[in-house]
Amino acid sequence: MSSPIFRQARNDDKNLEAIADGYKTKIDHEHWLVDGLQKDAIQNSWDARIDKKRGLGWECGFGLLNINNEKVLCIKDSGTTGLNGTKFYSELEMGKILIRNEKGEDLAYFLNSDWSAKSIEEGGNRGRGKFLFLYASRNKRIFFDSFRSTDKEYLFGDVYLDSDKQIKFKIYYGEEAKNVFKNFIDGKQTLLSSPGTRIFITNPNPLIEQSIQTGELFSYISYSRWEILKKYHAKIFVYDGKEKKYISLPVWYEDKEEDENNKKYELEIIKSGTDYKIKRLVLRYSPNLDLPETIRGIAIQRGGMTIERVKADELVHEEGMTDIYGWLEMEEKKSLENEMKNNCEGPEHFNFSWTQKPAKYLRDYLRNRIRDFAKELKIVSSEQAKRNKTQRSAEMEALKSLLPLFKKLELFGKHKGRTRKKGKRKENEPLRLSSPDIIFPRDNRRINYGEIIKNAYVVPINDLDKSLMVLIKVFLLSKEGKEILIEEKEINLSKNTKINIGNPSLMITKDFKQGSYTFKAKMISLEDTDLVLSDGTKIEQSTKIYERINLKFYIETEPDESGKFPFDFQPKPSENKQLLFDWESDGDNGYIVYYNSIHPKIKPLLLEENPDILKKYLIEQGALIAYQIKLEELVADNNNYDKDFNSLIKAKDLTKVLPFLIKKFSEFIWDLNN
Amino acid sequence: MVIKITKKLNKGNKIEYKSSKFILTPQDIKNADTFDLELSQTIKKIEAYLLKKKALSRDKKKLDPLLVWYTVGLEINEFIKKHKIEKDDERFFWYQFYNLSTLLHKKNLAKVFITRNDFKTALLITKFSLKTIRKVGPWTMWRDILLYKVLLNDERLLKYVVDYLIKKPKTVHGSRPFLKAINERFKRMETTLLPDKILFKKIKEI
Repeated sequence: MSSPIFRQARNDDKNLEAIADGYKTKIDHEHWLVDGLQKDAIQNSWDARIDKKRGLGWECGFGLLNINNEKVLCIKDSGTTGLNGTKFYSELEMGKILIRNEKGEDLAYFLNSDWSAKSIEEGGNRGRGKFLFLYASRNKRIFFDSFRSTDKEYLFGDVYLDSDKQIKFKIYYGEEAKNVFKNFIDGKQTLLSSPGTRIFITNPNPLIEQSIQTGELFSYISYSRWEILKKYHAKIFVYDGKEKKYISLPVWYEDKEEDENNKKYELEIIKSGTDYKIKRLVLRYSPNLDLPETIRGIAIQRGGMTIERVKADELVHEEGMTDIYGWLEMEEKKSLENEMKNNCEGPEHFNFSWTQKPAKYLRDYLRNRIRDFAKELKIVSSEQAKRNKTQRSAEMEALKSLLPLFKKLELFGKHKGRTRKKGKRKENEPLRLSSPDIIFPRDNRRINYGEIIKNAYVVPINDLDKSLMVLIKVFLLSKEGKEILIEEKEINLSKNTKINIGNPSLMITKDFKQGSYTFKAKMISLEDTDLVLSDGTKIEQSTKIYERINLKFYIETEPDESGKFPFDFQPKPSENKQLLFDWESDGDNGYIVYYNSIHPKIKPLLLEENPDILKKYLIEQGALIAYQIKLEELVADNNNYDKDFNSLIKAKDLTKVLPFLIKKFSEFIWDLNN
Repeated sequence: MVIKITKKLNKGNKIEYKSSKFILTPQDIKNADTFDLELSQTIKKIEAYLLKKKALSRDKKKLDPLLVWYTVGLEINEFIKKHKIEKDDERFFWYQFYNLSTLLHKKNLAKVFITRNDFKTALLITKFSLKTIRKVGPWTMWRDILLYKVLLNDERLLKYVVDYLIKKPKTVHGSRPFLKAINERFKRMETTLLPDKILFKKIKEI
């Protein structure tokens, strides 16, 4: 018996989703779609430029159009070859072309998936970027027209996801193509008059329009395409429906004279015994220019585009690394570029797998070069810097150990906060919210891009016998006062309610600006009741029943702890024998406590490698000074604090001061060592 | 948006271009320069108008504070409407606003603006006509009124307070118990969730 041969049916709808998911994971910001789209579209266009050497006459751009009362995103290029290749009129003919896998069959490759015969030096060679065009259309339909450079033929095509979940297309040639095109565009667009291609994405995702209007697309293009903007003066434009704007080179990548803040390394072998060679590595240190987050790190370039930026602070864990940026170019068509592309680069052209060779070698090379650069700049690891670091760490640790004493003495830093009343913790409110399971990646609540806050939800609790309709709102609040809603829900809250409101896995993407944020939640009544809160407030419709969830965390930044201390230690070398310690007011910031770093008592402590020795000394002296400062403040402000201080002040007997301070100091040292 | 910032340092001014999102292309810098020029022209225009109206003196005295702040509010409003300033970039905007306005405040209050920003308060009063504002009371009273979050969060409450103070005029001191009572009644409530009818019923119960 013979069987007919079946062609396996794919679910292209699901395929589109899967490919889009790949991009979404790699580009961790809200506008991932437009960022992925621009990168692929420009790369395909750049690969198809007619003047390969200089890119003369090449132009590519994105425009928002209105065709037949429908929004359309048009990606247009010129100075490119157009969709050259053998014309086909049936599936059979097309199949034969694909099987031959020859170069120059751009048309067939463009219209089919995973068939691409691009050479290695070209940017994209996997043929998946075009899926993104279709995904970007809300009705999953794109049109294209192309003027071919080889035979001056005109093409028009219609690609769509059909109801049977298969991607299908129609293609027209010559005069027929021109006529179908004219019908499609309703007379508003003219035919292409020189070689090039246009892709019309119908009914595009609204975020695309938004990123064009706000100018974000501009930024995405300039930070991934700066190399061709610089070397070829490439013309890339964005048309927002009103104005056509060309993208220019970001100032960060302009040429500069080489100096200590700007180093260039050329044609270096990255690993001995191999022929992996870079073309150029440029490292720049820019401490005062407020380096944008998007520029930070070393841009790894391939095919004229930035594939990924490797952060200097991830390679070298030292202060000042966040102010380093630069780029690395590989030798074209040589082993490093070939293998980086084939073995290590993600299919979306947004990342490398750094555990694979030669990416691993490249990363090690980068680390060494950044370290050398930073050493030359004296931003890391000189002996003096190391000593300063030990010293700074001893000062900070001493302040942390003194914190309980500061609290006891009610001495506060500039972030005063509220003075907690003595006594027990407040009893649980019967109606409340709890965030019992939230987990930040680090104890100090620093969180970096790409990391997750686990269990970012609240649990509403009702200990009363009566149920209540409430609104629960879980949100983040930025330092600038911007609210970012996580979840909002109306529920009938009873004793038996078991629900988590929020996000079990909150991803911190690059959409969040660097800085401090607070995780907050509130419970609001949606009905009038006869219930009363513990402070006497009657619960009625819109009463804020509970809003005490406030968890501060820090995105891509270290928590600023200095503000909570009432004083700061600072070394002050002085030949004055009488000066061991000294202090002065620093306005709202509290006090600066100076220690004489060349005093024979302190100098040897500073030479110790172990910061604990200096720390211990600073704690002891700091405690004594804290009591003295408290005494000075009480005398100056004429305030009451506790009976011991009050009676000392009232006594106005100078002979009692030192015994008093020694007594208090001894008590603190006892507790500290016990 | 990229905003140009002039940092006034002892050793001279330092220019910085700041933005929460954008990287600096020459176009961004050009736009920021144009924006900055327009902002400084707007401020100069406000100051010249107020000097002419004798609401402001050359030695930075506000002779008619309500007219000063109302004019400032109207002009900033127009300016903000014209240039879309994102929430994240607002702090850069205010910083530069303080830098560029030389007559409108006495000291360089760039640090103060985060906690108390008179320019922002000025923006809020422009919801009403100058006539209405004058009827309510002096600038110090307005500053009191606009300190209360309950009034800022719900325009209906702010309008009620304004109408009330026009109907029953009070001194700055005399208005405080009334403002406090409104605040006490609603500070624990998300009043925007309440329909008009219920909100006004609750006001009347005070």
